[in-house]
Amino acid sequence: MKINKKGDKLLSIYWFAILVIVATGVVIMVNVYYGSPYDVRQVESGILANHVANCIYFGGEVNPSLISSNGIFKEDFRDHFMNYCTLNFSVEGEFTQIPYYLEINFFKGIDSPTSVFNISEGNQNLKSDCGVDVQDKSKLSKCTSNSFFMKLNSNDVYFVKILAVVSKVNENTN
Amino acid sequence: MKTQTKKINSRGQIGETLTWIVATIIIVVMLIFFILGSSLLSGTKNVGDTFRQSLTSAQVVQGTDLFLKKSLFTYTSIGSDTNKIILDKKLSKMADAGQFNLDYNSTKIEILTRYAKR
Repeated sequence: MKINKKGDKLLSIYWFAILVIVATGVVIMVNVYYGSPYDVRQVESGILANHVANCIYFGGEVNPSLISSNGIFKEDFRDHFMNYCTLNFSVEGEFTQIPYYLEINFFKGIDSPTSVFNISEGNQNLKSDCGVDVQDKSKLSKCTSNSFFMKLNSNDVYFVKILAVVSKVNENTN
Repeated sequence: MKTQTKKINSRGQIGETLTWIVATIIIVVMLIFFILGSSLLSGTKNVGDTFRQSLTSAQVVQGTDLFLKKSLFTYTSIGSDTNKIILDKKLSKMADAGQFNLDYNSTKIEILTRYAKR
């Protein structure tokens, strides 16, 4: 009888040890899986491009602050683009670089190769990350390039090209 | 008799201990396997065009393309027929190059129908 009791105790210790091992394993698995961040930069740059597109051309109407009635682009829109489009690229910290870059080019006509007006905001150094052909692009900024045609009241058609770049490498990668 | 009983008991104990050792090894190996699996599945999870394609494919989700719709709205509101033809050709070219998230022709029909209703 004595021997049996000892065996039971030993078995209880064994089961407890197994329980601890399995629980530790589950904790490690959950931590490993959910500990790594989601890279949302591509989506973020897409949302930024959409926002700018809506700011320029919404519901078939060009933003009246962008072009005057006689088809001349307003410098004031370029100078206060961030305010007009309710954007804010300011970052905390004195030496922190802006993790965004925006570039908008306007081409008169449907097939014109030269830009007649352009707006750029943010950190211009990020632009060089776009179009870089390397295998591991996780440490590069994410770029979204979109374009659309807009029509003025005067029936003039403009081709608008938007480039949105989001850096934020540290926040989105391991 | 006493010696015989002892022998049988110790054999049984050894057998049982071996079973538990093997069971423990299997549990630990399975745990390691699952931990490795979860670390392989994790990594950095990219949320974008390639995120879980089975869930975000065109067959499952309709999706949208703001830029294509803006261009098509411009197309419908252009007065000149020549410009319309040129713009249509240009948009078709862009669609062939895979620049739009939606099917060009079906979206064009959808926008034209909507515009005609108004």
